[in-house]
Amino acid sequence: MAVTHHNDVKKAIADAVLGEIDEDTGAADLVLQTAGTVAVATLVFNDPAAPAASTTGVLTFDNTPTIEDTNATGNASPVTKFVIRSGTNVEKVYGSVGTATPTDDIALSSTTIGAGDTVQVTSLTYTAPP
Amino acid sequence: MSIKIGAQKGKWRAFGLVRDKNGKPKVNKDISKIPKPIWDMLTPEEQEELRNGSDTS
Repeated sequence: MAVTHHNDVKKAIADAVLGEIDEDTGAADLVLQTAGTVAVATLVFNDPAAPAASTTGVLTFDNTPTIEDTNATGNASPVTKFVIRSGTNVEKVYGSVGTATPTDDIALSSTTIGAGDTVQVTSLTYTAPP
Repeated sequence: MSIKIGAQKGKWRAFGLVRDKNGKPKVNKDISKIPKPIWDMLTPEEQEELRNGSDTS
């Protein structure tokens, strides 16, 4: 039987994740990377990045103003993963990037990002374990 | 004796739109493969252009 959590625990987990992301001075960011961990685009969160988690343990990141990079570094290789860093660039969260849903944590319209491209994300959420 | 506890994972979810440096969206030409949250990030004009030129073959 899989372990499940009371909503209070799920909310505490999600708020702890947000606390880690927002722990430092300055805005956190989301860096899209190639398989070789080369940074291709850096999207800056709002500060704070999100309001407190919902009662069921869901964080919904603030997207006003838009979380974006309007002048990506770019790379010939596609992006395959991301890292979320705190305001002082301490790595906090890792995940996958692709074009498929729901297998990828972040689904992009294209994983090939050129120099000067713009990348915008929407509907960024974290859901605590069930 | 060891006890193994099965735990499920937290989940991240987001959608992103990439535009080239001229502002043109970089999306699948087959619009049936574009997730709705990404589709909704396009302007009405861009959606219309993709509908007219959609490659669904």
